[in-house]
Parts: sequence; C-alpha cells; structure tokens
Amino acid sequence: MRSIELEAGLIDKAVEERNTLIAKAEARATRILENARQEETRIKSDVDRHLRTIVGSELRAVHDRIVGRANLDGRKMVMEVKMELLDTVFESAREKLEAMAKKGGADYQEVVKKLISEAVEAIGGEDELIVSSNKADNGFLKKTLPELSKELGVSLRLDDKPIDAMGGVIVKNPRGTKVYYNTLEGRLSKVRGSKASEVAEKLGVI
Amino acid sequence: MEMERILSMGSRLQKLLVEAKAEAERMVSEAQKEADEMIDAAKTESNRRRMRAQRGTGLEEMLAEEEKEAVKEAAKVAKDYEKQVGELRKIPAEKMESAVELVLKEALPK
Repeated sequence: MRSIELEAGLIDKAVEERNTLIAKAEARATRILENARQEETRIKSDVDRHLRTIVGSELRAVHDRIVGRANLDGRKMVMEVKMELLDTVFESAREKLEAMAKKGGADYQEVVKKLISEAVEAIGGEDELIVSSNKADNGFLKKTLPELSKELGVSLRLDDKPIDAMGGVIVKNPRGTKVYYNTLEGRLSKVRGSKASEVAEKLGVI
Repeated sequence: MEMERILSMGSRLQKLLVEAKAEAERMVSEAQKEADEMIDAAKTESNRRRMRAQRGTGLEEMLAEEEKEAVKEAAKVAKDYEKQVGELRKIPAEKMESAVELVLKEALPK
C-alpha cells in the first residue's frame, strides 16, 4: 500500500470515530434533557394536584361563578328567543282573528253563535241570559239572538252597552252572579296559557 | 522521511480523537448540568408554592389561572348558546304557519 493511501485511510477512520463520539454524546445529551423536562412536568403536576386538594373548593367556586353565569345567560337568551317566537305566533293568530271579526262574514257569525252556545251550556240552569258583544257585532246579533234563543231553549237578550273587545261575547245571568267570558282575546289568552308547550313543539323549539 | 510524516499524522489524529472525546464529555456534562438545574428549579418552585399554600398565601396565581381557563370555557359556552339562538331564529315559515293554525284551531270553538 502506498503511503498516501495509508494516510487517507487513517484520516477517514479518525474522522468517523470522532463523528460517532459526537453523535452519541448529542443523543445522550438530548435524552438527558428530555428526561429532565418530563421530570419537571411531573413535579409541577404533583404540586398542582396537591394545591388543588387544598384550594379545590375555591377553584370550583371561581369556575362555577364564571361558567355558571355564562350558562345562565345563555339559557336566558335561548328562553327569550323562544318566548319571542311564541309571541310572534300568537300575535299572528290575533291578527287573523281580528281580521276575521272585522270582516264579519258568515264564518265569523257562525263562530259567535258557537261562542254563545258554549257560554249558555257552561252557565246552565238559567231561563234568561244577557249577551254582550262589541259594537260591530251588535247588528247581526240583534237579528240572530231570537232564533238562537229558540235553538238553545233560553231567552237571550242583547246588552245595550257594547263591550271593548275584538270579537266574541260575554254572557251573564240578569243578576250578574254567573258570567262567562268568551271573547276572542280571552280565548287566545287561554290557549297561550294551556297550549304554549304544544305550540313550541310545533315550532320545534322544545 | 516518509515514516516520520506518517507518525506525525498519527499523532495529530490521536489528538483529534482525544479532543472529540473531551467535547463529547463536555456536551453530556452540560446537558446533565442543565437538567439538574431544571429539576432543582422545579423542585424549589414546587416547595415554595406548597409552603405558601400551606400558609394560605400564593393561591392568587392558581385562582387567576383558573379564572383564565373559566373565562375561556365561558366564551365557548356563550358561543354554543349563540349558535342555538341563531338556529332558533331560522325557523321555516311553514312551521310558523302551522303553529299559528294550531293556535287558531284551539282558540275558535269546535
């Protein structure tokens, strides 16, 4: 072997050995630091856990105060929107009823007759009853009541004083001891009280 | 002459390896020192916090951290509710109409 080749071989071997030494040292140093970081995290977690057992209730109180308030506000906001939707539905129904009453057509007149009939049945046991309605309905009731009286077997008299209502009637006995409110507003309000959850279900907001 | 040159180079290469070994040891030693310092600092800090907590002080940090986390969680909760409200407001007209019909059916006498 020529001396130049011998030299090159020696250099290569030495450089390779050096690189291996450095690479191993780097790997070891990385491992040492990585282990130290894990140990550091463990120590911090341990103390956190320990402190949490000491101040757990205070931390929970902080959490509950802030997150609890957000939940409360959120539920309130959702509830308000649901109420708004129900308001919209009932307002729309009210407008339709009002339009029907104002128009005063045959359909509406039939509704009023049924409202009177329902009131008569609910009061029961009276020979004479007084029917109050708004000014607009008085005209047709004057004509209708005699016939309805025969039909229902009770004397129905129209009150001279009109009531302030969108439509429907108030029926009472002459002494005023039995009164049946059957106005459209009243019925709508009753539906709101008793059927709100069904309406909400229909809207898909339950 | 040639033999002398080879011997001299051998000596230089030997020196290179000795230096590399020393460098490797220095790297490991520095890493170990850094690791020890890191762990010591964590232990010291942990003991300090433990002592302060036992004396009932130094909890502000934890409470502040908890508050920070809770505020983040609260923001997420609020966002979820806002999304829910947004969905509620998108009720189709047919559903509204159907609900109105139900109300009218109930309000009018049978």
